[in-house]
Amino acid sequence: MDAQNVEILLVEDNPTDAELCTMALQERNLANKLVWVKDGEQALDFLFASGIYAGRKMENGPKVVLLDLRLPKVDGLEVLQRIKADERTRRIPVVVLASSREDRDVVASYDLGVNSYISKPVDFDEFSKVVSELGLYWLLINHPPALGAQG
Amino acid sequence: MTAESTGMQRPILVVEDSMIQAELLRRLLVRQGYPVTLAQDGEAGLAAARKELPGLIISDINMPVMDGFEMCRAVREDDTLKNIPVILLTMLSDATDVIHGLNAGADYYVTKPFNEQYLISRIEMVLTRPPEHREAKVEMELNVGGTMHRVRAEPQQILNQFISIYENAVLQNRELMFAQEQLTKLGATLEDRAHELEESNKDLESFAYSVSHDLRVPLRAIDGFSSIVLRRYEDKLDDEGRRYLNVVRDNTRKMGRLIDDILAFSRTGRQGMSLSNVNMDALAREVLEGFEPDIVRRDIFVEISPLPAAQGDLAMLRQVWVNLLSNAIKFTCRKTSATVQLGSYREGSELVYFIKDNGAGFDMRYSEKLFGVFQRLHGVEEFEGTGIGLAIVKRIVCRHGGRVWAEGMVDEGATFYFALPG
Repeated sequence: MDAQNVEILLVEDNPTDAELCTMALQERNLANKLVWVKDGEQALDFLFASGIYAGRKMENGPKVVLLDLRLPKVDGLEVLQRIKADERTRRIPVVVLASSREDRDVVASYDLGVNSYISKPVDFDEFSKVVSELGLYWLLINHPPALGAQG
Repeated sequence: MTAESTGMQRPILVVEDSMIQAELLRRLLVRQGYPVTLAQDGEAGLAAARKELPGLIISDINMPVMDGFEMCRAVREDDTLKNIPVILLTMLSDATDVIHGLNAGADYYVTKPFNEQYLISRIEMVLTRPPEHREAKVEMELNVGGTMHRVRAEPQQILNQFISIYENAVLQNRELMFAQEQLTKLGATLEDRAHELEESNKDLESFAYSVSHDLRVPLRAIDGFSSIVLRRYEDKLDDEGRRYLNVVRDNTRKMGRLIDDILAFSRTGRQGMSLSNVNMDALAREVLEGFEPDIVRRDIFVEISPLPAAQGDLAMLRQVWVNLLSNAIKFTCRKTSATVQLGSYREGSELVYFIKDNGAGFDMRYSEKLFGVFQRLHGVEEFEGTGIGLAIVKRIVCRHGGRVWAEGMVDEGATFYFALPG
């Protein structure tokens, strides 16, 4: 996939979860402009157009980040913190898609300014419902400020 | 110095009503080479003394028929016995024992439980240089424990008694200091243990965290891909093939619930508690409201009498009501006119709350099992659930310093009680 006009950045180290998530979004036709990265470092490179994504334009999105918390190299909470701490990225909605329901993760994520926190259900029917609904919401219903817009 | 070296042939008379104490003493003395005679109370002791003319009498104080003081007095008043030394065994718990002992004419005190070495050295001393009872008695007033006591005894006897009491006190003091030293060491060990425990608790916590994450991922994959096969390859599967895949999916869901339940259970054990005055009445009514759809649909008759407030953790106590009420509602689902009754009463220092239903009930023989982890008294086909709800209730109530129990009869209903200190 080319890195132009990305809608969803999926940060997920587990390929099976990534595939299931993509399939759930495909069912609603929401996965056409999705980029999948496997760890926190890649996620940050993509978002800040550095490293292997050095040539990318930051204005090209994503519209929403779906972020797992337990990631190799740089973990999810740190990725979240970096996104929300930077002027250029802090308005990008971040949805944590966690496997855990641990209170401390929920609290930590909200403290860092997460836009939504979802724990992935084991039941695939529920899972695909949740994922497709959040895709619909953030891509079609929600109205974000234009990227790079001044306040 | 042993008995042989002192040339001592007359026996030591041990007067003691506790057979175990008497036997312990007898063995100790026999080991030292002394002949021993035993008597079980003062009267028997006096008779034995007259018969055997012992070289020394060691006597307990509290005994049936005739106590140690009385026997001692009788010994002193008997011309043939009056010079026999008497050692009284005491717990040193009552200071007036000393006064009574002096007035009765006892020579020494040894505290119980006795220090073997001290007792032996004392016996050797008494036998080598028996105290003589030739001095004239003096009378004096002694203040013991804030009360004045009249004492009539020989000066040497008074001195001996107080020295022996003093020696015993020093001995006990040394033992206490040693014990205190041991305690301090133990305290340090305990601190280490607490630290280790804290560490392993942390390990456990991160283990539970990993479980919640790592076990769910493969489960989601199993369920997800089974579901996708069912959807995308529906026409290639026959009924049996579809059924098999649905069995797979049913079981992954069950395992998902089990994982959630294990986590919920472990959380109730480690989460911090914040205690406050909890309005149990409002809390129970609030929880009841959550079950409103079931209550209305099944027309369950709910009766709630005013519940007194309790000290506790609000969120945890809410969980208790949720689990108990959902049980009551679940286990009455086969009844055409289901009733659930909430109430409370005070019993001593406890506040007892209860939930009574007329549901499936249970066999009282298994009531112990009800609150165990993953214990179920009904088949999964009959009533669903993993069997963690009551285990969580028990854990929460125990953490509040309370207790839980249940009464029931098959098909007649069940009553679950939990008592909180209040």
